[in-house]
Amino acid sequence: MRLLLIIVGLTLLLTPTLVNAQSASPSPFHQIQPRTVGEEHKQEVEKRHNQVQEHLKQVKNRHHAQIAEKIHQNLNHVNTTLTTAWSHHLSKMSEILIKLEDHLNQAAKDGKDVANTQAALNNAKQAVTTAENALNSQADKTYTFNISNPDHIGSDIQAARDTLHNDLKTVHETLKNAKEAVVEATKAVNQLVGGSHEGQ
Amino acid sequence: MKVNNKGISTIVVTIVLAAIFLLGGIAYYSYGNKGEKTSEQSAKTDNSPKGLVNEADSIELETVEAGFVEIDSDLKELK
Repeated sequence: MRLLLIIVGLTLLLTPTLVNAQSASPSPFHQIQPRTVGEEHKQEVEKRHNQVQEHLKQVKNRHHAQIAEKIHQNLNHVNTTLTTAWSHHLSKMSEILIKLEDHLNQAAKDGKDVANTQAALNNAKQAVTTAENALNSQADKTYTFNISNPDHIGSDIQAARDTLHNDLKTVHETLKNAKEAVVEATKAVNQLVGGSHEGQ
Repeated sequence: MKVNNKGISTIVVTIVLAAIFLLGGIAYYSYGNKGEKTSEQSAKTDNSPKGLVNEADSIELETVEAGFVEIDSDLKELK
């Protein structure tokens, strides 16, 4: 009787430890949260803008100086707008992958061969993580230009514009790959599971 | 004013009936609203494998070029 009480007592004591140990294991994939523009980034953009305003004082054509100032603001605005919008899509993709994982776990429990589908899901997770890293790096960047020749400011600004354009194209490519991989994963899961547990 | 036993009974019955109707109305209203929300929610989030295929397919990434229309137009003025 005493032995039984000791066993029950130890089981009760150890159960929370075991449960905690399981839940503390690092999750290989997480729900991505949409980005918001941080105060620090806003201040950095503002600082760069003030520097550009100073440089533009040496430009005699005031109309050109005003346009250059507007472009400078727009360069950073475009970067923020696109990276924020894309982060919402990445969030949605990660949400879909988490739901697919649930379907796949259920299929495995039902005794189905999930190997190929799991590979498609892992591929999608990897693609989304790659896109997330690229997006976060891009969102933290600020864009500016120096005035090397006050009479021909167009070429300096064009260079800054091209840098931003190329950087955004690179990130967009990773997002396109991520989307395609997620679509492939959903199709693979749908093919495996079909209508066997619809609506879960 | 003098109220007899019959009058008291009538008042009590009326109050009880009114309470029943009131509670019934509240319950019906609450149930109806919940029902609408549930059907709305299920329409928005179809978590079935087929629903997830459609959801992933419907993701439309904004193009890079869309953001550069104004910048490119302004740049032309500087050249």
